[in-house]
Amino acid sequence: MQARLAREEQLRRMVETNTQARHRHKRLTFFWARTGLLLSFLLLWELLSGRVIDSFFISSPLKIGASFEELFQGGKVFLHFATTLNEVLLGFTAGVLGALIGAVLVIIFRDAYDVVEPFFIALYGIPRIALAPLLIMWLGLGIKSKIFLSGLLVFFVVFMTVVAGIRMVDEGVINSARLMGGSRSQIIRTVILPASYPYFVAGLRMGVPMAIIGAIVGEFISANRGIGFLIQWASSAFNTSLAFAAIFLLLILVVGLNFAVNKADAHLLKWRPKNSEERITTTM
Amino acid sequence: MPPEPVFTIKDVYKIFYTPDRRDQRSTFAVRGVSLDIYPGTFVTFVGPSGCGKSTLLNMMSGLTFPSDGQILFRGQPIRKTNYQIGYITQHDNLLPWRTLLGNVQLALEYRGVPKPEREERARALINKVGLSGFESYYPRELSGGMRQRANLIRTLVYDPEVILMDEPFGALDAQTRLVLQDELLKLWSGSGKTIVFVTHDLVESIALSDQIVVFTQSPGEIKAIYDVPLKRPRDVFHIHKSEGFTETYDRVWVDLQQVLARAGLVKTGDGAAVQKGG
Ligand SMILES: Nc1ncnc2c1ncn2[C@@H]1O[C@H](COP(=O)(O)OP(=O)(O)O)[C@@H](O)[C@H]1O
Ligand SMILES: [Mg+2]
Repeated sequence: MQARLAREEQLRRMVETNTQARHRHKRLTFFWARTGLLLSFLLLWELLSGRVIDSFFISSPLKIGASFEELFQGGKVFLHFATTLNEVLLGFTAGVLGALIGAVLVIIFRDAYDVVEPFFIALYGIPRIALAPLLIMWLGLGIKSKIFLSGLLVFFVVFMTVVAGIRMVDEGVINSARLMGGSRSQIIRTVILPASYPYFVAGLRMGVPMAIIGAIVGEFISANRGIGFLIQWASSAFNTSLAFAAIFLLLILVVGLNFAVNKADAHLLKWRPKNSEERITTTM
Repeated sequence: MPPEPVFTIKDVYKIFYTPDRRDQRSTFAVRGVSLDIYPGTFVTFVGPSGCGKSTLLNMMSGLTFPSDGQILFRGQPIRKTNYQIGYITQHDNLLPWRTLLGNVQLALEYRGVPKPEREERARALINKVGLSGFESYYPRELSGGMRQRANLIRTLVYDPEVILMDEPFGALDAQTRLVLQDELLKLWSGSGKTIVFVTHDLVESIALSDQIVVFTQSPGEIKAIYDVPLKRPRDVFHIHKSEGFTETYDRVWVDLQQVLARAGLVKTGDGAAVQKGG
């Protein structure tokens, strides 16, 4: 009996360490594969530039690095970065809040939404970017018009996704909550919204690039600060390296926002199986 | 004088019509059903699938309404969702984003029961059905039998006097099903609750109920109603050895066999084996 217990304990340890080792191994492999890919890309770029393709058009990683340094030296970069970050964050937040409020209204006034939906879809179909010049006319040259455009783009994609999610909520689950005595607002809070979380998160993911597109396009059209302005200005001065350096700044913004969304995702969807891990554990 | 029925079903019809399906005409799901269900009794509905059992339960719970006829709950026609009953559906409907404890507490949360009390009541029931230790598990981490237990107690936790159960053990293996039947009878006995339980298993319906209602294959009528004379408390594990089991089985089987034969599910004259298995 004693021996058997010891053996089982040993077996358990083995499975646990093996699984952990696999996780670690997989994470490491992926990390190095990605790093390798990135480095090869930069290397190839550096090699092609000036030898095969005119570096006037594509610059080169080293030159971009130099521009980047220059950009930081003046301190002006912080103004541009902060301006765009501000527009993106406010636009994203406003768009997401608007989408959530819209979604709750759709739940409550289902029939009314069904009436207006075709108009909504039609609006969704026209490129909202086309509104940018009008928005600037209405809201001025400052950051308000950029925030609005950014928010508008985010709103549509999050709203449409969440509404699709609400449509998918299992009728049976709602009925069972009703029978258990749930009021309308309780059911929205405990059933419908949590059930649409995965869609909401998917909407957030799609919303990140939208928020940035809105801010940047707004800045392209008219602005005197912001990363979009920087790109525009650098290109018109034929300073390819600076333009790429500014795009790199955008990349930082994207990575930061995606990181935040991933955090929210992990928090909201604790109950969902973590795909890769579960796959590994179940094959043991 | 007999007590007032919990449910009075009076000549109820239900017609489903889905205009989008062009080739499909309207169907009768329930046709001319009349039935009284008395307080404290355990009634089972037996019949082939598609004969309108679930539709009847949906009408008794106020999720849908009769096309014609009337269903009274304690003498009052059902006009909206019937909150005074518990309804355990075939599909477990647990919320995947809530733990076992969170799921079992849900109905109490809806009722505004304070947190310490609702946790205590939920934990008591979780213990009672042998799920302690799994409080913080999500539904996907529970086995089929455990989920069905959870489904059962999330309704029992708010103590409804009337419970409708739609093939709650249908998807379980034979052993788990027996264990849950036993647990259900223990939870029910002495509680005075009225239970309406849908099953397609004749043995299960004899083991559990006071009364068996046999439905015919569409058009969804009642074929016959039988009283089950078996003494309580019952031993579901040896129910086939109970006094009166064989007689009841044979009596009900005659009708059920005809129904199944008409549905093309069994040949007349040699059906017993089929039914016992399923
Ligand atoms: N919501 C619905 N819409 C259309 N037809 C339905 C609906 N619900 C049930 N039916 C039909 O009614 C009949 C009875 O179904 P149901 O009550 O689920 O039977 P059972 O529970 O006895 O298997 C079936 O023919 C089924 O197709
Ligand atoms: Mg059914």
